[in-house]
Amino acid sequence: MAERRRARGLLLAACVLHAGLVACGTSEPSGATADASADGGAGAGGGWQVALEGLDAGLFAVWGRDDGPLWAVGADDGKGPLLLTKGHGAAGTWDRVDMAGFPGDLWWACGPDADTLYLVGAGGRVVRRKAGVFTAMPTPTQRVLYGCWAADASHIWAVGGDPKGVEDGVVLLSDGATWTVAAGLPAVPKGTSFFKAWGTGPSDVRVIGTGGLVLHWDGQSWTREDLGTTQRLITLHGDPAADLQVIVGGTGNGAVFERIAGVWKERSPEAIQALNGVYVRGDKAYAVGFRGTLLDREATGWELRDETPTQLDLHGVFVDKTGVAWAVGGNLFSHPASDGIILTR
Amino acid sequence: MIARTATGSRRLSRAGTTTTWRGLVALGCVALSLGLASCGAEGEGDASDTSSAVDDAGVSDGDQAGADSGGSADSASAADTAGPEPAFELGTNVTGKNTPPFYSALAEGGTVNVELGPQGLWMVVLAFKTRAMFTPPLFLSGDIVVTDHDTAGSLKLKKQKVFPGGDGFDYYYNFWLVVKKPDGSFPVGVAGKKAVVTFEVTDADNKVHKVVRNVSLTGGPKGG
Repeated sequence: MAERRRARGLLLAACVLHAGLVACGTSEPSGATADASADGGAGAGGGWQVALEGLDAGLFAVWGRDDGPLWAVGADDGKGPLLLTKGHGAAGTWDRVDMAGFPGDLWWACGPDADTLYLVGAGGRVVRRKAGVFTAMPTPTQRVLYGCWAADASHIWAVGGDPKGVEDGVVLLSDGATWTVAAGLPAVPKGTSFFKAWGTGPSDVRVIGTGGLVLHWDGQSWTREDLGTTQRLITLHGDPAADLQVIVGGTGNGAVFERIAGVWKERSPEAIQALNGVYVRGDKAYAVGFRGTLLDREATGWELRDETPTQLDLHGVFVDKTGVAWAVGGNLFSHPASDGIILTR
Repeated sequence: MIARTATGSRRLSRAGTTTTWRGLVALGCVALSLGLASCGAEGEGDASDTSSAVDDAGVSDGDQAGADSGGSADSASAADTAGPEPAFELGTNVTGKNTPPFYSALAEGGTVNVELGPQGLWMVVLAFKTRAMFTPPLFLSGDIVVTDHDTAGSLKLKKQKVFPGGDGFDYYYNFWLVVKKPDGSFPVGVAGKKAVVTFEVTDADNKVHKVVRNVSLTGGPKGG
C-alpha cells in the first residue's frame, strides 16, 4: 500500500500546471528504464502482465503514432481527466499530464501527425494538443464523444451519443480548425449512438454504433453495411497492409466481425464477455473486454486468453511500433470509472 | 514518473479482489467480521439458505465432497480440514463492487432491479457464492424471461473463476445480464413485472448446478 501511495504521489508530482493553457508531460519519459524492465516486463513471458494499476481513474483508450509518444486517456477523478504518456516500447514510465483545465472524462485519442493530438470525451469535449499546447475546441454537440480518427490534418472525425440511448448520436468532422456535424448520414433509429470511426483515408471511413450499425463514407456519400447483427459495435480497427478490419462489441456476450477482401464475416468466439477494444498491427491482433477479457487472433480464430492478470474491465488496446502491446481499463462500472490499470505484453 | 507495480500487487489483482488499497480495506473489514453475519451483508446469505438452495437444485451433497471450490487456496484448505457442506447461493451485488459486503442473496420471490449500466444497456446484476462444489474453470449461463412482456436476456461465459471472500465462501460478482426486447431495444415497462431467472454453473468435471428464481422486477427504462 505504501508503494501504491508513493506511485500515486509520484504520478501527481509529475504534473505541471499552467494557467489557461496546459503544456506538460510531453517530454520523453526519463530515467525509469530499469523500473520498466524489472521483474519480467513486456515480452518476457509472452503473456499479459500488469504494467500499472491502482490509478484513481479508469482508462478508456491507449494510442499513439509511430512518430510520436503513446497516450492513455480516461475518466476525470476530480483532478481533471486522466491522461498518461510515455515513449514506445517496454522501457520508460507513464507520466501524468495535468488536464485540470479540461474537466470531464476523455474517451479516445487520435492524431494526424506527430505534432497534433486530438482527445475527445464527455459533453462534446475536444481537446487539441498542438506544438505541446492543449486547447479546447468548440464543437456543436453536448453528446459524449466516444471515438475519433484522423485521416489527415484536415479530415478528423469524432463520433458519439447519449449514454442513456435516448437522444440521437452525432458524427462530427473537422477540417483542423472547426468542427461541424457530418452531412448526409442515412436515417438511423432514434437514440442510436456512434462509438468509433476508423478508415484508411479521407475517402474510406467507417462509423460504427448501436444496433449493428456500420456506415461507410467513400468521400462522396454514406452507405450502410449490413453485418446481419443488432449487437452494439464498439470499436473498429484494421491494417490495410494485412487487408483486415475488425469490429468488436456485443450486447451481452462479445462479438467479433472481420472484413477480409471486402467481405464482413462474424468471427465471435462463444461465451465471452462483451468486447470494447481491438487493435490490428501486421500479424498481431488483440481484443479486450469486460472483466479482464483478452483475446488473441490466431490461425484458428479469436482465442480467449486463460491467464488474464486482472478482473477489471478492459476498454482499449494498442500495439506500439516496437511490437509491445498495451491494454487499459479499470472499474468501468463505478462512477466515475476508477481503479485504472495498464497491462502490457 | 510512475514506477511499475510490485509483484505482490499483481497477485492481488489475480485474486480478483479490488486492485487498490480500497480493496484491501474492504477485505480487512470482511476478515474482522468472521463469525458475525458479515460487514453489512444481508442475512439471507447464511449457510441454511445456501444449503436449501443446493437441495432445491437437486445437487447431491455426496457429489460435492472434496470438490475444489474454484481454485482458491484458502477455500480448498478450509474444505480439506473442516469438510464444509457444499453450498451454492444465487445472489446479486451492488454494480461494480466485488467484495462480500456488497453481495446479497436472491431468494425465491425476491426483487431484482433492472438498471442502466454505464455501457448504456439495461441489465440485472447477478452474483453467487459457493463452497466446496466446483472444479474450475466454470461455464456460467444466465437467463431472464419477463412474464407477459417480450423482454428477455441471456449471457453465457466460459473460463470463469470464483474468488475467495474471506468468509469461507468463494464469490462471483457482476454477472451483467442485459435485458432487452427481441430487436435489441430497451426493456420499457418491466417495472412491477414478474420474471424467471435461471442460472446454471457447469464446472470442469461437467458437474451442472442449476438454480431457478421467480422474481419481481423494479427499475427499467421509463416511457411508452
